[in-house]
Amino acid sequence: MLLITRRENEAIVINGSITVKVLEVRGGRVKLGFEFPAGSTVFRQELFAKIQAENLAAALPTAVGTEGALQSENALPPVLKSLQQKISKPDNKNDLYPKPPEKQHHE
Amino acid sequence: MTSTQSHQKSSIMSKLAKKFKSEPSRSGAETAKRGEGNAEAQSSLTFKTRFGEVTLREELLVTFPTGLFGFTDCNTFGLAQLPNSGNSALLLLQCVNRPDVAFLVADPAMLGLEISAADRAEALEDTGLSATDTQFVTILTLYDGVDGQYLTANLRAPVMIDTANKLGTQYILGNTAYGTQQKI
Repeated sequence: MLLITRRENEAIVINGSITVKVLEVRGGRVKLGFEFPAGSTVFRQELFAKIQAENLAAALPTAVGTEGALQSENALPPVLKSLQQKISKPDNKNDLYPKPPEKQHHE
Repeated sequence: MTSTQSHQKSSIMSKLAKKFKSEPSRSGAETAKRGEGNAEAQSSLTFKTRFGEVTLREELLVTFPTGLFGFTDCNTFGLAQLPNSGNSALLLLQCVNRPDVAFLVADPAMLGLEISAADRAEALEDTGLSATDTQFVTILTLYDGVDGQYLTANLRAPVMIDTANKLGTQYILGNTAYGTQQKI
């Protein structure tokens, strides 16, 4: 990790296009100002950590016989079974990649 | 489709297949194998999952250049129906290059949850994915609660699948109204 000491109103430029400026340091908190090209995404690290943790919790151990595998194949936990039935589609089309509905144009 | 595109696609797919074949099985239980079907475009991949056998059609596989958050090495996925599930909208997002990774996903609208048109438009613009051929699905998580198991949907970070370009990504919506653990 690169370490740079900065005072208030001093900045850092990354890749010639991203500027991070220290606006204020007070009471253990730092206020930072960012300038970045359009199309960049900027999030607090906590949000990334939260979404990573959610993905890790959601990932299924799929291989049969691994830890966490169900006792028998095809046995869905009841909560999944009921959701599965609830969201069954009425039509018979086996369409895994449905087109999104056409936008309604109001003239 | 032009012949160049089709050539590129088949070479990517054959590389993928090679990579897949050469990958040593991490445990004897992982039995993903490459289906030897029609030599044309109809080949498929079969995964033995905890829910039974799942088949992915090779021509419908989607590349995730940056993977998913926490799974940056998961770069190829396929969507499949759960075995014996009839026509349910509850789907399996199966990773191909890491057969041990799969997610339960569903169209949020089918769960009574909604990502607004404005937020979808922003996500499409940010990612550059096809506005007409991209579907949004939400990852489901099964939790053990005091009153038994319950499901949550991560509406804040939906998975976007562009079927025209066979590209996918997980996108964090800017709108903080969406939760990462919305109860279903």
